[in-house]
Amino acid sequence: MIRDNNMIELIGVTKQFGEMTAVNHIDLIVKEGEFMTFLGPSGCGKTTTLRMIAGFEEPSDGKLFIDHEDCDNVPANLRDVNTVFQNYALFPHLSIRDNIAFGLKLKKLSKEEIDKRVNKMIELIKLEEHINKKPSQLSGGQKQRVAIARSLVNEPKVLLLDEPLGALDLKLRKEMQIELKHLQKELGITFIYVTHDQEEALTISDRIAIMNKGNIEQLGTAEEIYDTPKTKFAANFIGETNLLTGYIVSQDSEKTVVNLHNQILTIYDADKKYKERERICVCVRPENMHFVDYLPDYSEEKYNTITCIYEEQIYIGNLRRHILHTPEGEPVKITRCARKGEVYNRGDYVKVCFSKKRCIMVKDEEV
Amino acid sequence: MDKEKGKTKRKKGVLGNAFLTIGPMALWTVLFFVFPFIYIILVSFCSRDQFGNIVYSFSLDAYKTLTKAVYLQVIGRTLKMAAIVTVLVTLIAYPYAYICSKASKKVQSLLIIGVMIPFWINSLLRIYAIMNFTSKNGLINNFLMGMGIIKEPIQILYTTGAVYFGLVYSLLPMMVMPLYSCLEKIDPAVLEAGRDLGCSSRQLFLKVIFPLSIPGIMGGLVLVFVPAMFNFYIADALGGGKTIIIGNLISSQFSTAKNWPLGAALSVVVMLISTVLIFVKNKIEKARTYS
Ligand SMILES: Nc1ncnc2c1ncn2[C@@H]1O[C@H](COP(=O)(O)OP(=O)(O)OP(=O)(O)O)[C@@H](O)[C@H]1O
Ligand SMILES: [Mg+2]
Repeated sequence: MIRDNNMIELIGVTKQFGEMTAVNHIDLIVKEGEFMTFLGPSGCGKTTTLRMIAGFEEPSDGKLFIDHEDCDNVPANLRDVNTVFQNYALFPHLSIRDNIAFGLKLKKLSKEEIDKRVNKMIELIKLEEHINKKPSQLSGGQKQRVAIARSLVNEPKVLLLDEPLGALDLKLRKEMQIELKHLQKELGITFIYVTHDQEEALTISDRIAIMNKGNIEQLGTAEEIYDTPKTKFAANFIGETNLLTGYIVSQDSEKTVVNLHNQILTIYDADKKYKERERICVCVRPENMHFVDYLPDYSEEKYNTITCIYEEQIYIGNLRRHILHTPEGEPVKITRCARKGEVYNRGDYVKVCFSKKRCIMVKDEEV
Repeated sequence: MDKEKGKTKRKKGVLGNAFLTIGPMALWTVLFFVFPFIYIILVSFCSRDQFGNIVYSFSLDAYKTLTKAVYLQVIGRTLKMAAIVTVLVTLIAYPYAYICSKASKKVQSLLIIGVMIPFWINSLLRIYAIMNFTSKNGLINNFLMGMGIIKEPIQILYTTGAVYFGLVYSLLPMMVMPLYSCLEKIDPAVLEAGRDLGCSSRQLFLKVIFPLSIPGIMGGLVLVFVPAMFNFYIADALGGGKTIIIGNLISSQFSTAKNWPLGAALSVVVMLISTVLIFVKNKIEKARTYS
C-alpha cells in the first residue's frame, strides 16, 4: 500500500552528454499538487532535468518515478506528463483550436467533451478571437499562452513548464503568474516550473530548487531560502544580499565569533559547524542593515557594527537604496523606507549595524 | 527640397543598375522564351498546305484535328502515364527524403549527392546508359542468366515498363529535393510536442510529419508531372517509338510529319494543363497557410 503522496521521485539522476555532465546526481521528491520551481542560471541543467522527466532524454544513471511508477523504458507518449516547451513548439499546420484539441483527440474523447474543454481553455487564455488562426499569425506572448493551454487541457498528472512566460511583457507576465498559480491550485495538477527569474520563483512556487552546475544547491520554500540560504550561491541568487568575507574565530553551541578584517563580530547562528579559521561569508539582507545614527534602540550587545564609506543613494519608488563599501572594498547595500530622511555625503565614514540574530554564515567558495 | 532631389536621384541610380544587371538576362528571356512562346501560339492558329508549309491565316484546323479520337487517346494516355509516374516517384522519393532528413549531417549530404549526381549528367547520356543495361545482351539479362534465373534473355528495353522506369528514374530528384528540404525544416521540438501529447510513432507521422511535408509534395508534384507529360526522348529511346505520348507526338509533328500547326496546338494544350496544375497547387498552398 502506497502511503506517501510523492508524484515525482528522482533518485541519483545523472545526465551526461559525452564528457559533459549536465545533471549531476540529483535527488528530488515533488509532492502531489505541489508547485515546484527549478531556479538557476543558464546552462545549469534545468531543461535537461525536465526533459528526463518528460521522457525525451534517458538518464545516464539513477532512477525516476512518476506517481510511484518506474519510468525506465516508458516512452514520452505513455507518460501522463505534459510539457510547455521553451520555444512553444506549436503545430504550424493546425489552427489554434486544433493545436489545443490535439491531445484530447488522441485520447479519443467524445466531440462534445473535447469542445467543452477546449472552449474553457480558450476562454481562460483569452484568445477567443484567434482560435481559427495559425500559430504563425500570433505574437510571441499569444503563442506562449496557446502552448500552456495545449498542455493544460489534457489535465495531466504533472505539467512541466520550461520558462513559459519568457516572451511576455512585465505586466502580462505578472498576470499570468497569478493565473497559473490559481489554475494549478484549482486543477490540483503538480507543476514543475523552470525559470531563471528569482522574483517569479519567489511569487509563484510552493518550493524552489536552486540549481547550479547540474546540482541542486538548496531545496525549500521561498522563505526558507530567502532567510536561511545554505550556500553562497543560493544567498547571491535569491534576492539581494550583502556578503562580508571573514574567518571563524570560535564557535560554541549558541554563537559564533567571526573576524571580519579585524572587526570582531558575534553571530547567533550555530546551526552549521565550522572549523577555526575557516573562511566564511556573513550574509545580511539589505533591509536588515541599519545606520547606527538613525537606530533609536541601538546597543552594542544586540548589534554588530562595522564602519563603511558612503557612496550614493538610489531612489526606487517606495524604497531608497544606499550604496556603501567597506574599507576593504566590499560593497554594502542598505534599503530603507524612502520617507526616512537619512542623508550622507559621498566619502563619509558611516557606522552601520545589523542584528546579531538577523544574519547567517555560508562557506566562502567560488561561485 | 534638396533632400528630396537626392532621393530621386539615388532611386534612378538603383534602377539604372538594376537594368544593367538584369537587362541582358531579360533580353535573353525575351529572345529565347517569350518570343518562341508567342510564335507557337500563333502557329497553332494557322494551317498548312499539302507540302507541310505553314499558311499564315487564321484557322482552327489544328484544334479541330485534336478532337479526333486518336489524339484524345494520346492526351489521355499521357496524362495517365504522367500521373502514374508521379505517384511512383512520390512513393519512392518520400521514404528516401525522410531517411535523408533523419540521418546525421554527413550521411545526409552523401545521400543527397547520391541522388543529384545522375541528375547532373546529361539526360540523354543517362538514357543511353539505361538502354545499355536493359538491352537483350545487357547487364541485367546477363546477370539474370548467369544466376540461372532465366534461360532466354527477356525483353526489357522497348517496353512500356522501360519507359516508366526511365521516367521515374530521371524525375526522382525533382521530388526528393523539395521533399527533403521541407522535411528537414521541421522543428524537432514540434515532433517532441507531438510525442508529449500522446502520439505513437504512427500517429506522429500521420498527424504531424505528413501534414507538414505536404508543401514539399506539392512542389515536387509540379516538378515531376509537367516534365513527365512533356518528355519525348525517353519514350522514343526506351519505348522504341511504340509508346506514343504527347511528347513524341509533338516532336514528330515538328519533324517527320511536318505539321507544325498541329504540333503547336498540342504544345498549347500541354501548357494549359501545366498552368492549371500550377494554379491549383498555389490555390491549395494559399488555403493551407491562411485558413
Ligand atoms: N543534447 C545535448 N547535447 C550536448 N550537450 C547538451 C545537450 N543538451 C544540453 N546540453 C548541455 O547541458 C547543459 C545544461 O543544459 P540545459 O539546457 O539543461 O540548461 P538550462 O538550465 O535549461 O539553461 P537555460 O536557462 O539557458 O535554458 C548545458 O551546458 C548544455 O550545453
Ligand atoms: Mg532551458
